[in-house]
Amino acid sequence: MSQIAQSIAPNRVPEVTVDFWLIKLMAVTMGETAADYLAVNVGLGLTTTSLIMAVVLAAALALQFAQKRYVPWAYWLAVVLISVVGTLVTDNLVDNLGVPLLATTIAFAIALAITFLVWFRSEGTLSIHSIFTGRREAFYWLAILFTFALGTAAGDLVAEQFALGYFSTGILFGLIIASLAIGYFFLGLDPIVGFWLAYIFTRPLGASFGDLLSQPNAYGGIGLGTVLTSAVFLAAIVLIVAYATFASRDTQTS
Amino acid sequence: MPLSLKVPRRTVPQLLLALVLIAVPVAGFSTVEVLTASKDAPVGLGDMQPFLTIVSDIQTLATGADLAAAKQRVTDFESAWDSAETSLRAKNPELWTAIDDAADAALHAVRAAKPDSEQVSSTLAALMAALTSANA
Repeated sequence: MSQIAQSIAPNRVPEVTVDFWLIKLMAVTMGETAADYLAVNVGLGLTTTSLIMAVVLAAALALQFAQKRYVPWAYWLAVVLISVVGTLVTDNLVDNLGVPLLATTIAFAIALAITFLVWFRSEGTLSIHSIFTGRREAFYWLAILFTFALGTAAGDLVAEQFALGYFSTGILFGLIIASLAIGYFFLGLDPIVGFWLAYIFTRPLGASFGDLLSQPNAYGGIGLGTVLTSAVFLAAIVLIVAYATFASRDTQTS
Repeated sequence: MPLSLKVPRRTVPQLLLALVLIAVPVAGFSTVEVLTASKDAPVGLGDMQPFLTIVSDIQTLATGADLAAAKQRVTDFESAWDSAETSLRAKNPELWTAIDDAADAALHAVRAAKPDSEQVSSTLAALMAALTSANA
C-alpha cells in the first residue's frame, strides 16, 4: 500500500494512551464480574450463557469491522464483550470439560504465538498503529481474543497454584505490569512486545480486583456484589468513552 | 518461498528482556510470600455452617423422596460452593479439593435420571463428613 493510501486510510484501533489502559482495565474488571453474574444469577446455565454471549460478541465485532475507522463505542463494546466471553470460555473448559488450567494456559500461549507469527509473515509488521485493512484488523482482534483467554487461564492458574487471595493476586500482576513499564521506559523494551505483554497481564489484574470488590466478605471480598460492581465499571467506561468521542470530534472540527 | 521464518533481528534479546522483566517481580513476590507465610496457618476452611445447612436440607429432602426439591437445593449448594471457590481454595487447597470431589459425587448422584437412593445417601454423608472436618 502506498504512503498516500496509508495516510488516507485511518487506523481502526485506538492509540495506546493512559485512558486506553484505564478503559481496558475497567473493561476486564467488568468482564469478570458480568460473566459471574450471567453464569450464576441469570440461571441459563454456563453453556447457554456462553453461546448467547458468543453470538452477541460476533454481532459487536461485525459492527466494529463495519466502521472502517476507530469509533470509540464500537471498539470498546467489542473489548468488553471479548472480556465476558473469554471468561466464560475458560470457565467452560475448566468446569464443564475438566481441562486442567496448565493445559489451557499452554494451549492459548501457543495459539497466540501462532497468531503473531502468521500476522508477521503476512503483513511484515505487528504494528498496532497501522491497522487499516480488514485483514490486519482480523489479526488484531484474533490476538486480542487469545490474550484475554491466556490472561484468564494464567491468572486462574497462578491463583490456584500459589493459593493466593484476590488481593495478593492483584498485587502480583500489578508488579509484573510495573516491571514491564520500567522495561519499556528505561530498558529499551520493544513497544509492540511490551504492549501485548501488558495486554495479557492486565486481564488477571482486572479480574482479581473485580472479584475482590464483588465477592462477599465471607469469601475474602468487599461484598459489593456482581451487579453493583459491573454497573459501576460500566458507567465509568461509558463516561470515558463518551468523553473520548466528543473530544475527538472537537479536534476534527477545529 | 523458503520456509525460513523471517523474524526481526532483535526478537531474541527482546524476548529475553521480557522474560527477565516478568521473572523478577514473580521471584520477589514468591520470596515475600514464602517468608511471610505464617507457620500456624489455619488448617480448616473457616465457617462451613452455611454449606452444612444446605447439605443437611438435601439429605432431609432426599430421604423424604422429594427429589425435585432436593435437586433445587443441590443447585443452591453448587452456586454457593462455586462462588466461594477462590477464597476457600486459598486457605487449604487439599481440603478444598477433597470437598469439591465429594460434592461432585453427591451432585452427580442426586441429579441422576434415576437416582440410586443408596448412592445418594452415601455420597451426601461423605460430603457432610468432608465439610465437617474442614469446619474450623
